[in-house]
Amino acid sequence: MIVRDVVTAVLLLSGAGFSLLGALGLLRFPDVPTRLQAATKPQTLGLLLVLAGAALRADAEHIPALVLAGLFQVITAPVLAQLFGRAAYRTGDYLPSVLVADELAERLRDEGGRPTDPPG
Amino acid sequence: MTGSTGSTGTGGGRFSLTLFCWLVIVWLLLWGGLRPVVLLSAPLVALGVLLLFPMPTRRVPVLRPLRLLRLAGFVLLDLVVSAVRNSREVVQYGRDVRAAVVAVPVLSDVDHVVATAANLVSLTPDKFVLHIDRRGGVYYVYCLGVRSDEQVARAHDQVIDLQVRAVRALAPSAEARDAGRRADRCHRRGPVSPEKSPEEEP
Repeated sequence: MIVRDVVTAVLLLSGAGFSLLGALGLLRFPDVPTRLQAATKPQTLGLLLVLAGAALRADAEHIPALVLAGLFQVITAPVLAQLFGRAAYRTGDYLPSVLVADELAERLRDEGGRPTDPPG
Repeated sequence: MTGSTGSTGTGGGRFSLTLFCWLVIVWLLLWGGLRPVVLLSAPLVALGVLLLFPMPTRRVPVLRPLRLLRLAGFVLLDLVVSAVRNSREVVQYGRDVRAAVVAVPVLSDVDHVVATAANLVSLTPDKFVLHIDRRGGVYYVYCLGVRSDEQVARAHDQVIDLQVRAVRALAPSAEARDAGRRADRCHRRGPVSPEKSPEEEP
């Protein structure tokens, strides 16, 4: 029993810690893509840890819902990050000084245009 | 998916039994019980969703359970390692954070593998796929915490390695077999493991 309490506490606290660091990144990072990373990514792991901690203490009937919450977080978070990141990049809403290399911009310079979606 | 809608993904009928079953299962999981109301409403809701939001259907992809498990384990490990690395980036550098947009060759020509690999790359806390050039076969990956050419090359190879694992787990067997060989040609440096952070010297 005590072991389970300790494991739960560790999982919940470390999950909360990662989420907190994500929030801190949101404040400290300079532009949209980097803030986006801080806002969407560490809390994926944070939420998974919190859910795992909760699953250890919850009644068995609630565990499927927790699994579902984790699953959808894992499926949706990257899609959101990609869409927002791409929008920020396309509209030029980023600091070039942050990038040490930009191979997409190099290619666009060679082709003389902005990236376009393939049709369909 | 980012700029990649399927050329080969569509086909078959409008109705997918797999998708229907999945929706029923999700509905049952959401209610967390098998009460009669839930059981009765599940097929109705699933049917409604499928009719209101028609999705392209295609055959169930090749699944290799063992390799899928290994892929899941790898991604989980990657998630933890890069979350820690990302946190260090926040605490240590803050406003002086650096990043890079790296061009990485796509190792697969199957839509769902390309999309899954892109999503797995984007799931890890220090990278996301900015743009997929489907015709040219290039991912443009935004990598956080990259400061030198050496680290750019390492991030590039990490994405390649993750792709090899995704291709081996999900792609048709012909593609899965020679994924390793094609990856070797793409590597900018030796094979890397995600356990090593980009900052570490080899």
